Amino acid sequence: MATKKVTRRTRSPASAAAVPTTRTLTIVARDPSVVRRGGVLLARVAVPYETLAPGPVGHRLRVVDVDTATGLVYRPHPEPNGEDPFRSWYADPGKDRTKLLADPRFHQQNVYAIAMRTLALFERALGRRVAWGFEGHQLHIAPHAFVDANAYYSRAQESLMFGYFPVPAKGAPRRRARGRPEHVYLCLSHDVVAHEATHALVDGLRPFYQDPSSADQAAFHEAFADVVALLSFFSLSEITGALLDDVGRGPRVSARELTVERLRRSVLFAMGKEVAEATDGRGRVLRRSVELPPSRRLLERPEFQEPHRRGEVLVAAMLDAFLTTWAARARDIVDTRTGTVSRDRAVEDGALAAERLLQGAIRALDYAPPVDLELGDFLSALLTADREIQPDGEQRRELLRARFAAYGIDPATESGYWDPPPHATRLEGMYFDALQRDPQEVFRFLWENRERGALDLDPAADTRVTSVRPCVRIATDGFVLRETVAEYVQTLELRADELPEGLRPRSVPPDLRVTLHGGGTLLFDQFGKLKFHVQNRITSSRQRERIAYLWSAGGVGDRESLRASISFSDLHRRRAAAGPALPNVRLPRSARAG
Amino acid sequence: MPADTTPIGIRLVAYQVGFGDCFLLTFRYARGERHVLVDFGTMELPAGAPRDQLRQVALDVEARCHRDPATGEADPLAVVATHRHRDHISGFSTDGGKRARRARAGRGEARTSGEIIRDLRPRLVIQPWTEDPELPVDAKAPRPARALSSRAFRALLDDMAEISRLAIAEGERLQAATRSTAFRELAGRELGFLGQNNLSNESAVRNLMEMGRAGRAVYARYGSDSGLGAFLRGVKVRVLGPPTVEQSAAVRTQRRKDPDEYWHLRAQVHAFWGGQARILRAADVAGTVRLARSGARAGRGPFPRAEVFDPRRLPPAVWLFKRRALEARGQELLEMVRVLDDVLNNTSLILHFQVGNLALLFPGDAQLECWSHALAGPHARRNQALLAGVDLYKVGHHGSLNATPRSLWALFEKKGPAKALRTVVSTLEGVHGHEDRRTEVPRRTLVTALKAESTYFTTQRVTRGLGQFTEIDPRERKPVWSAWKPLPAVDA
Repeated sequence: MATKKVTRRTRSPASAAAVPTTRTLTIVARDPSVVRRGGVLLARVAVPYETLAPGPVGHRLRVVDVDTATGLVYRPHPEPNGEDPFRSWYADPGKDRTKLLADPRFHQQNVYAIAMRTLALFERALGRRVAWGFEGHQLHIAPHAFVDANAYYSRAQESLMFGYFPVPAKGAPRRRARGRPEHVYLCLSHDVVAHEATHALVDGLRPFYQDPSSADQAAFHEAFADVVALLSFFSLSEITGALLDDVGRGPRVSARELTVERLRRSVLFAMGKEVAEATDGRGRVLRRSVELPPSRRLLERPEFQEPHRRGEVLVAAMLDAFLTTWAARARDIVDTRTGTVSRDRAVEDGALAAERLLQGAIRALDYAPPVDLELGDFLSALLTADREIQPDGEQRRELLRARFAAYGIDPATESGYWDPPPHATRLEGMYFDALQRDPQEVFRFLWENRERGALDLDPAADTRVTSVRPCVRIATDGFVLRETVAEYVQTLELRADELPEGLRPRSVPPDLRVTLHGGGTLLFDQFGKLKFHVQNRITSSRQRERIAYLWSAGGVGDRESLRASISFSDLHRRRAAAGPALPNVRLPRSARAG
Repeated sequence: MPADTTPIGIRLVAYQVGFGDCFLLTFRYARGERHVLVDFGTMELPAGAPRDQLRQVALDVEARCHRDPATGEADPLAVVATHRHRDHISGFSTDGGKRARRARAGRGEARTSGEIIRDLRPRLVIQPWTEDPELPVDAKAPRPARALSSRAFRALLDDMAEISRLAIAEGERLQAATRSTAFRELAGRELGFLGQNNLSNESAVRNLMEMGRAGRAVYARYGSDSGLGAFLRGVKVRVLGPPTVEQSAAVRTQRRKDPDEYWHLRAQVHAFWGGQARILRAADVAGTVRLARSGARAGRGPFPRAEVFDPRRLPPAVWLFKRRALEARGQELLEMVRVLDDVLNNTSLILHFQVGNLALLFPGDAQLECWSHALAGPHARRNQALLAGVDLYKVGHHGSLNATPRSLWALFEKKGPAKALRTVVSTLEGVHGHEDRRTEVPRRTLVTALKAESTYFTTQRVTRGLGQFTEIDPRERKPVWSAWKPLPAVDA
């Protein structure tokens, strides 16, 4: 639910002055390759208000403009709490934007605003504060960290690093638009910034998703970051407006033009082919997701066993769902006499459709298992989360299910939704309040309900509650949902010949040490009753496939070292070079051994 | 049986070259000896080794080849350079530097190690197909969607050498900027090590090419004739790698479940690394700062005239993050050169020598990708049977984990508690990789497996003399390798 205007709230009576709840900042709408009326397309976004220090430095983000290539550190704007210093550029579309794009302070504002907006999207969708994947509270951002066609999130460095590089001679557009810089700055690309911020956020929510597990999980981190990046900028009315410019420019647009295919072509155009090709390779990959035609058999094809190509299927399904929703909404508002729709309304509907889908996707993370995610799990999580917050949205869920099915992604359960626990769980001796926040209390809940028929935990495994989070979720129609989300992880270390019957693939030698992970997400309702237990059992039949996959990729038995060695910078470089993605990236070095 | 149709003895000398490879295989016949020098290079010598260790090794090789200084006549010699990494070919360099040349002249020996080997007039010089000077370098990168040709792959290797050079230079700038030993430990040392190893060693490359022209040059690929079959009578030598790009593509089609194993051969990769070299070149921009009354301003760099912090007065929080960013960039460059290192390792020649029932395997630094065609291609079953019978295995890549693929190790039938398999590794601990990242070379877990299931020898045991040797008589019904012994002086 985007906040479109600055709203005000009143502080305690002691504080006479009212402070705004949001701050609106000017950003580059997509990247400097997307131009309108000869100038780079800008947008204004609302981000949560906070008292900033120069940087900008806020309570969650710390922009430090260090350039390791030149050794320079660019000074930030000295007055970050005043009016948006770049507002006038947005207000005057005809103004030459060369100077704006050559100002590192605008770059600093751009990364702050997009990362903060992404954080706010997550917090709004999840109904609670979201921690980073490291102990600190502030994520560092370096908008000009180095000269390279790469950008990445680093847990170890607690930071997002963005590169820049000279515009390639061959790949550059023939006619340079006014205000187009000489360099490609990845910090000015909306989808790159949102993508990296999403890695940092998902790492905080689901740290085990960086683990080698299956082709699906390996694909998920990158794919989800792409989904957030794409829907994030499609939720800007400036971008949906630009998309409609390619369909028609008048105040009313022909309804016949608002088809999924026409919108898809428009999306491709807006994604700036030339610069995308010439830059970091990510643009090319995103384009490929948009162009991917639906097929039930895609995921079975050999090339889609590679994690990043597999991820493209998830991105394609989500984007297809967005375009289908948008086109359907346009059909609902068509003026039957003229066969047209209001342009403004269609623009607003498109942005809203993207935003809702984005919120649903983020919310689905809370309904997904904490380890060993598969694409079908994500779809079931998406559908269940949606039903919980909007029980009457059956039509939307059918559409989602159909679009995913078109790409061969079926839900993990027959009904599509997670099933409620088969038996009532014991709550005797437990306190509702503690169950909402205290890992000890949640562990007691696990202990009391560990037996088969209830939570069905493996008694031999080491079990740890990794998080307990109370949430207040608010649907777009104002519906309020209170839930508590808790996650636990189970770990079992054993030799391959100690694996339960049927779990050991034939190819694995008997004396190999294997570390198995299982776990579950517990969703409690507002009365402390368990609504869902989304579990991947440590000895489930799916473990056999995972062990075989990891063995073939070299990951069995050395999972911790692999996890430590996975880096997003390497992943992004290999992805741009069409190389393998997680987890095979590092496996050859550390695991293909005798 | 007529004389010289089959060897009556085989001797393997493992020279102490620190982190590098140098092996001399001698085949004794009734009428004399024939020698094969497999690699000759080092990246780092062990502490206490004389600076001219490589030259001493070359002189020892010369003596073992019984070269007559007066006539120049020597035993027939073949030279194998498995791939172009410095730790495998630097000894072939003829460029000793002025100071070294003067020092040698004072002691009466003016030749460099490469010149000594050249004076032996090798009859055969074998290198991987990627070194073939007749293979024209594509002027243009192929279009991304199309398959990469072997010619374009050569161009890719040149780009990669350029990237290594640029990465080293940037790493040195980062080291200077951090002024921190932590940076050196974290990234700088390994970056310099791997980067230098990747750099094209022009003098050695040229010498190998010239020796090949003077004798016979063979640029071998999987399945091709190495020329050693004619050189060594009674010995069958098979080339099991590297595959050409076209051969790899064929395997990729066949084994689509492992597409990642061949990623580095893709055309798109070529375009990417070409772009990467161009970008890194642009990174060499020393930023300058102008101190004016209004404050510090940027000079050179992407934002001339932008306000910057005075580098001498950075706020503590900014300085701390700057150091973190410098370290992160160092790590990133290290990741990049590691990829390049892997690609070059995968151009390694893999040679399988068969004398009767005796089999010796010299795989250079080949990793799984290089083994792909042999283990999964059209002759996989035959090759697997050959590998099952290996008696002596030169451990790949100085004992790193990734150069002894599980699938290869599993094939060796002579490994096991009886330790009938001989393994030999030429290595030096503590110069490559990190134990905490489980990338140290030699890798502890691999060495444990080698010690448990084979009779293991490492050149690190050579603390005196130039090397050690082991021998075997292939004519025996059950031939057994002798224990490793110090290398005796050679009678002139």
